[in-house]
Amino acid sequence: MAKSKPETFFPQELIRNFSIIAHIDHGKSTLADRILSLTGALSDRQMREQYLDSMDIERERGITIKSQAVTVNWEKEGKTYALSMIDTPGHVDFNYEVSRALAACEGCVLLVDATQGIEAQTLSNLYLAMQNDLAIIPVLNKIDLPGAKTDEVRSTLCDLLGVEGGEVLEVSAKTGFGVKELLDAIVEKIPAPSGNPDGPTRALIFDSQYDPYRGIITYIRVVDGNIEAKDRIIQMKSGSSLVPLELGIVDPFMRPVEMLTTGQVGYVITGIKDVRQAQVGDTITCERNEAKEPLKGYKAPESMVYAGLFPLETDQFPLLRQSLDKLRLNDASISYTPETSSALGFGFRCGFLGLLHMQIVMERLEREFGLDLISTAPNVHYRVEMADGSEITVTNPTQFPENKVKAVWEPVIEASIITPKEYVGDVMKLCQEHRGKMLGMEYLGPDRVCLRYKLPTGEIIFGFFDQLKSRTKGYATLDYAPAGEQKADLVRVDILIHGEFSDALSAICHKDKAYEYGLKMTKKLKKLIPRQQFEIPIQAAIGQRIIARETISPLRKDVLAKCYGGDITRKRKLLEKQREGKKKMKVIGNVAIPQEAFISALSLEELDDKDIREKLKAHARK
Amino acid sequence: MKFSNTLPSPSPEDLGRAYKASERPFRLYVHVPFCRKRCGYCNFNTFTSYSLAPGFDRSTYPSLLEKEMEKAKKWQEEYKIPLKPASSVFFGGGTPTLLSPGQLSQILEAVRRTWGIEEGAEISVEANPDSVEGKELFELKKAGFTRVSFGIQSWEPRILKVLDRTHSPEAAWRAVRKARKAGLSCSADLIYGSPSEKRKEWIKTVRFTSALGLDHVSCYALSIYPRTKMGRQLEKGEIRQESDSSQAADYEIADSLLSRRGYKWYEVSNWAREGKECLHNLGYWKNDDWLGLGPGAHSHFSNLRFWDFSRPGAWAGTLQEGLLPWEGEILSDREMKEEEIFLGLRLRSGLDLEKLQKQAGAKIQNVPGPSLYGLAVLKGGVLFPTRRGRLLNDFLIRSVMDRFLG
Repeated sequence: MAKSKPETFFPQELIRNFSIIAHIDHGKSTLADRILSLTGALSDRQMREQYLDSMDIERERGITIKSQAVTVNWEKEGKTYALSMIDTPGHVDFNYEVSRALAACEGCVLLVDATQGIEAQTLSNLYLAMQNDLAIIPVLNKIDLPGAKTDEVRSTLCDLLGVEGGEVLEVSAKTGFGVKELLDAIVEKIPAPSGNPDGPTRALIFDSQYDPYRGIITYIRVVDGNIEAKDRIIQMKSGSSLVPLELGIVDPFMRPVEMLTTGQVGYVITGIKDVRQAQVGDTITCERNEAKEPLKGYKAPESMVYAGLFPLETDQFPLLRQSLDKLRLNDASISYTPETSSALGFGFRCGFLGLLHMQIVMERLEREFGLDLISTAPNVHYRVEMADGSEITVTNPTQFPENKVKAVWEPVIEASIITPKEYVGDVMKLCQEHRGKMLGMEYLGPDRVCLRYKLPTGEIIFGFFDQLKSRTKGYATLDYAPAGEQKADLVRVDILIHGEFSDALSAICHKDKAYEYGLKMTKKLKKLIPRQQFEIPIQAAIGQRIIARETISPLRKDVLAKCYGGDITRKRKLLEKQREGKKKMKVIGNVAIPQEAFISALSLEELDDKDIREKLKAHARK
Repeated sequence: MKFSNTLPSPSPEDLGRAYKASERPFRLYVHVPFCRKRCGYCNFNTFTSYSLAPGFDRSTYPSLLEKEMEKAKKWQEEYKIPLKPASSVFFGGGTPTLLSPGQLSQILEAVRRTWGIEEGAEISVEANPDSVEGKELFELKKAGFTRVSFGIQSWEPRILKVLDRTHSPEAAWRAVRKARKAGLSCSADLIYGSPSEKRKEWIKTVRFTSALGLDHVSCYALSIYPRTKMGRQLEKGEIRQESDSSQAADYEIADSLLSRRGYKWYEVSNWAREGKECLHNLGYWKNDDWLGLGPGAHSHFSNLRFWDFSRPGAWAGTLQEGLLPWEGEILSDREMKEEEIFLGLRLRSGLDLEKLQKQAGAKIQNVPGPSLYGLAVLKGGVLFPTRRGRLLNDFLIRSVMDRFLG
């Protein structure tokens, strides 16, 4: 039965904390909405209103429909339970954040689209949930759709989880069918939180968000003891100690409370503005009942992908610095250090959690701060052991030493790729092309296969996902997690334009891929650099050795406006415009190169060229 | 509401007030905006209708021009812009010879009445080979015209068709012969780099032209502009633009063949026998003063550049209201220097760097020969473009501007 006035205090045995694990489009938010209306947390009218204008409402009234943790009440057999739904980020770049969100739960709902089947992302989150010993409630969604393969997907889930067919629930989040049964199952199957109510206070930060009006909102799960609104709290890793401005739960309105007790999920607002002081995975305790030991599992955010970010207009460099400083307030995982490039001017070498994270950051910098940015090709970091026993970490290709290298270590990941079985061959070929080592292969039902590979991280950050999608007609899904490092045969490929080295275009590649990179980059540049009045050689080199070369033929005649009938004005204006344009270009080796050429050369776009394919084939035969 | 982000163009009064006196020859240009048919490549201000606006057709055009002359003269007087006899007169188009010799004479007489024309001045008219009969050429000579410039373009019927020209090679040949008989100095305009033109077709055109005993030849690379018939054909992929290196080869061929026949280049696109250069066109490059009459015609007086409204209705309507149909710009010192550089570098006589140095305070040593990629040579303080410098003229101009203007 639904209850309209929610309670804010619950004994431990009446609390259930869970998350919903689902692939994008498998209906997670529809199900969450359905749960909100069914439990009476939101009326249908409120739901509609908020749907219409959710952003503004969020700001003005502190409602967080898409909250990181919403608590609803559900009545079963005369008892009212507090069910907290904890959201998990949906992308591999944020794997660690997912693991912390799951650590705040005792169970999860595994939501699978009956028309699609299980996907790699879902599977990997499921494995994380299993590692955390969570109770798992398998649920099939969209069972009412004509394309539903309910039986097939159900049997896959049974195999995967070792459960009986009857334990797999069936719902239609859209119509609400089966959602009541699901809520009952959550109460029945997910255990109550097991923390010690009398122990020293320990709460896990599983998410934090920056709100321009209220500062950082930290989402916590009380593991042991309790926190009162008047308590001075201590964040054990960052060491900061303050009295919260507000302690509360989200139901889905932000509702201040006096106390959060063992097992409860809620939020703390402390007035701090910098997200780095409220990092996911950190433990909160309080002075009144201080814990000595933090909760396990804290990990500082680790950059996986690095790239140079440069403003297109050199005078935007100070703005870029300010913008990065501001952005870091709500994204603790960005790192950056100043960097100078002869081709691109002043900028920053930035570290990101992954490629998507990099794209998000760039987009935010451009949209929220009005910057125009160019990025160098993303790369990973390498550990280089030198002959003299010293060691350097390379995050920028230009730092890569040319000689006296004893060994180079590259980061690797373990990837799970789920694909329809007819594409297994293509996927294996793709992984081999990217120096993958197969770890295992298993069937998920009759038609779908999960391939596990160890791959160098550097190989998957550049276009791998797109290639995977295109070779499997969009069916394959990918998930990965860092898995240490391995020794690798890597070289630095430099690009010389008219004999001059251009730092922005250098790349670290595997020895076997160096020729391909050199060939593709020189070809690309040949297409992109406007012809000049002299011949321009474009070369790719490893150290002193030239491995590929293209030549841009000289321009023999330029045709700008003529001055028919004495129209001198037009000619002058065209010349002025042309000179303005030239001034904005970067000059390398006496060659004026438009910014767009760099942008395109550095873009992830693959150049498909018959000549390249043939040359690569010939090279492979050698 | 949308606002334009450019300043309104200065009015004739603004222009007059801003005039800075400077001693230069004075020339006169008359634009005739009529054509029988628009050529595929043409983006000039010309119209194939003979009646262009209320009160504006072929018969009333001379009187509209007289009205503009009268107003222009008053404007000069009001703003103390010296009145001088014209050193040259040029009738361009469009197709000036679509006006009758009588009308052309009438306009020329009006010029004489208004400003006077210097003794022995060059008076040119452009003509389409098929728009003149022998008789008319004699009449033009009698009226005082000294020179005729034929739009011959090519001697190859196939190429004339590609260019949408209406005349035949035979008609062109007849027209030239008659003009010479009439005692007019003759020039031919040629176009190279037409789509599908073969090298030997171009060689034939230049050879044939140079054998006709003309005084003057102009060779223009075909430029295809958007919003022309050829521009649309190019977009649709029906024709192909010749490469710059092919056009460069055409240019070099023309330059060699014409020089061997006694024509010397004096401006990037112009070759003439000794003493037969087109003084009027040279005036454009030497920054002389000139007044242009007719829709879309350009004028230059010292630090002023202005032009007639190009839309016939606006042009005629404004004149009929008793106003000058002009808009233009007032040049800054820097802009005048820019012009001096890019105009001078098109000429055989070169760019006088010493003079420029005095004005700009820049140093000649900043223009070492080799760094200009062999595009120009410096002799006695003057920078002379080489043949390569003529072909890559815009680049040469930019390099010199970069050194002098930053």
